[in-house]
Amino acid sequence: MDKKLDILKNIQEVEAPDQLYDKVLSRIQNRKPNIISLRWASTAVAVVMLFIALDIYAIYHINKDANQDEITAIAPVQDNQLYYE
Amino acid sequence: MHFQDIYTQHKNLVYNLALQYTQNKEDAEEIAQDVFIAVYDKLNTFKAQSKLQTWVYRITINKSLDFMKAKKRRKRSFFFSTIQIDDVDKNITLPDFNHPGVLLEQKEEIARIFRGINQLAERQKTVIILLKIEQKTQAETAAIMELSTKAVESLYQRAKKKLEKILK
Repeated sequence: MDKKLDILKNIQEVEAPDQLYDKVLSRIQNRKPNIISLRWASTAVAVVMLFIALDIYAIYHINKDANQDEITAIAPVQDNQLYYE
Repeated sequence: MHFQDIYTQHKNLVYNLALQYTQNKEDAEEIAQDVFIAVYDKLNTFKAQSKLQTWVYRITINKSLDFMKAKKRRKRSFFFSTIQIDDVDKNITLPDFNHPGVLLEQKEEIARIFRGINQLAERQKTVIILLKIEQKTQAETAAIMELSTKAVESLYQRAKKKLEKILK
């Protein structure tokens, strides 16, 4: 196999096309600029996710406390009064 | 280093390496453009942990492989939309072989070998191109591919075995 592949050594180097540089520059110059940089966009997303997570945490705990209040309201109040006099 | 200097020093390297992957002038030119745009964008982040040439090699290899994957996907979707699935021939010869560095008298044999190389896994294909066409040493190939020399040798041996089967 090595001998068969040796024929590949005969492939000659060719010159890059003359117009290649102009095409590269043209593509670079015609690119639309980013309105917002990726870094700022990522930071904004992270902050929003943090707020959502805090909201979920807060709502969960508010609901948990509300449930406790309901249970307390149903259960009789401890006033040591077993019957009316 | 100025972008234009980098371009001048590496344009033939990039274009020829892209040609080894695509065997087609038009595709190689498109890849070369993509490579130099990437070089332009990433030049500030190049930390000189490797040689500039090694870095450019890596970008060219990645862009070439991405281009070939995208091209295969486009051809597959066009192909299946026009031909019955039963007629698909895995070894279809696509009329894209247009490598300007190949002498006419050797074109048939080299095209045949490239058809085999094109069926290799990406890293095996890269090793064959770097060792046998670009004539890099194992150490240079290992540096470009960020592998050990043992890993390069192992990839090369597996690539050769597979090529033997394909080219029988």
